[in-house]
Amino acid sequence: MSLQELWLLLPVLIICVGVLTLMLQAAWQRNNVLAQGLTVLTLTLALGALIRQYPTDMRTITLLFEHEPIGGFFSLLLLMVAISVALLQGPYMGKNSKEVAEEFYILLLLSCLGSILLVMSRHVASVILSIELMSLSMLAMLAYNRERKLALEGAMKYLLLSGAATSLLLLGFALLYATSGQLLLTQMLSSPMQLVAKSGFVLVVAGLAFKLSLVPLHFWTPDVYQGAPVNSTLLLTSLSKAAVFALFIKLILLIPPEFEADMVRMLSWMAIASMLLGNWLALQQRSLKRLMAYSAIAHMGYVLVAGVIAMGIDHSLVLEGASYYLLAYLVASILIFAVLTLLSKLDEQQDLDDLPQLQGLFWQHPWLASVMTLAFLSLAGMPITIGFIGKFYLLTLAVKLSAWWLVTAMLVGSAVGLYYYLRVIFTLFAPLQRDIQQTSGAYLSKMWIGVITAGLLLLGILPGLLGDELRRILAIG
Amino acid sequence: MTVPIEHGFVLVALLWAIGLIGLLARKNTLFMLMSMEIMLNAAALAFILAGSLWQQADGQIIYILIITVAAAEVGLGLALLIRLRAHVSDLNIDKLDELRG
Repeated sequence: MSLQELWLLLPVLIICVGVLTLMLQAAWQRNNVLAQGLTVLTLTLALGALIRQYPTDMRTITLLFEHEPIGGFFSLLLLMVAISVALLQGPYMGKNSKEVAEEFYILLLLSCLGSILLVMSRHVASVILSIELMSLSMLAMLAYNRERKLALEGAMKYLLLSGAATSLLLLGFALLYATSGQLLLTQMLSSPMQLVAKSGFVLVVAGLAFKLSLVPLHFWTPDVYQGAPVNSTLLLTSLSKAAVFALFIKLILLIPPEFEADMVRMLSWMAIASMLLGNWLALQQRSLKRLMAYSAIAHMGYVLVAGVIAMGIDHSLVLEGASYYLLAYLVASILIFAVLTLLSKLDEQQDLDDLPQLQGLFWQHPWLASVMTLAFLSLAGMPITIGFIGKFYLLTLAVKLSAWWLVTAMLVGSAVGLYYYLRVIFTLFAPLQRDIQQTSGAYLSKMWIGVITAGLLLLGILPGLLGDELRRILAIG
Repeated sequence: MTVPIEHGFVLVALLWAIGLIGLLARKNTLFMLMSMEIMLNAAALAFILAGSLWQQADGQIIYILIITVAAAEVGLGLALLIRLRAHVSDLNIDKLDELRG
């Protein structure tokens, strides 16, 4: 490994150093404010390093990793998510929590490290290690409050099912390796595919679809979301989805042409089923976390549409659309869960989660309620928010490909989605029933929420601001 | 006499199926964790077979990685198991059925 390659790995190395520092700090003197500060500092430095040497073309770093623009963009998103979670954890945990504080930040950094490595990986070994680093540290965060039985239940379900899904992924890679004799992703998929290799690829897709909670493999999502502490749910719904999707789209673009038609058919059905089922099941939910889980299933269906289209027409525009949509989804998810986090406490048995509990939030905490309203409008794809532009991108692409089934499912799904998103918004503005406690102070977290909300509006009103840049950032076209 | 490679893959499939059936049919969480481990090891065995098919050491390296990852996964699983026992003083997974809707 040359010095140049090490230099390209700088963001990753910074996070590694951050993890070690936090471990030493926890051994030396426990102090949760210091731990939070160190985490935010590490992530900001990593963000700075990433922007400083943002990739303009593809460079390989040893056999295992690569440094390329699309991965770079996804890493930016991942760091943004990790910073939000780190900033929100302080107020969520409070000053004198029963749980230990430092380990959460260590796990957060490890999980972020895993996701960034996953985005960069080009070899089966690095994919396996990084995807497990990401999901195992996330698993520990899902059961972070040891007193909550529901968190335990969710984590247990996630552990057992994700173990099974990982074995599917590994089996798929093993079959691909057996037929091609290569472990590099590009070489593995470039050799002609027989039946065994094709089934191997389907198994890999299934393993990844589990992490993305696409429809045939979505059963774990609502339970795990509802059980977990709300800040960990935020991480689960954004970090792991974004990182796994980056790998997913990388693999999809590598499919040999003779296998393309079959994959398009399979993924189209998965996308249609996710969009319809996710939105339909979300209709009857009272729990906000469950509602977000089903809405995540639906949104992953929308993003998968981009993947399907990517195989049909030219890649550049689709990557742009998918990145934009994912950005919109992440921003809205961060905002919704951030508001819930500020209204909940880790030490309590339950988070603020039930929809009637949120009734009249606007009359007591107008700012938080407005942020949440904007985020839900963005998820619903209303104009002047970033979600509208994201959906517009995808719809345009789907129409261009004349994928009418996909277009129909998207429109039906969005219409149904609008109904339950509006239901939440109406609840926020209904007459106040009971007192809702908000975490006082936490100005830094609130400022961060404000910045993200401003981004949501700004990119919704002036889409050209990022739209034109995005081509350059992703170095396409 | 060498064993044909297909037999190895049949063994992989059998092990994986045993793991899956165990995961679905067992109620004791400890045994479910063991079944999950069998599934992961079936996949790891497949890598060794593929490695020997191509006369490469890579398959065995991946095997070592998978064993490591599986150990970490089970370590977390056992930690959760201890919490489960503290909560319901039982290892029956059916005691965890409050999340629904």
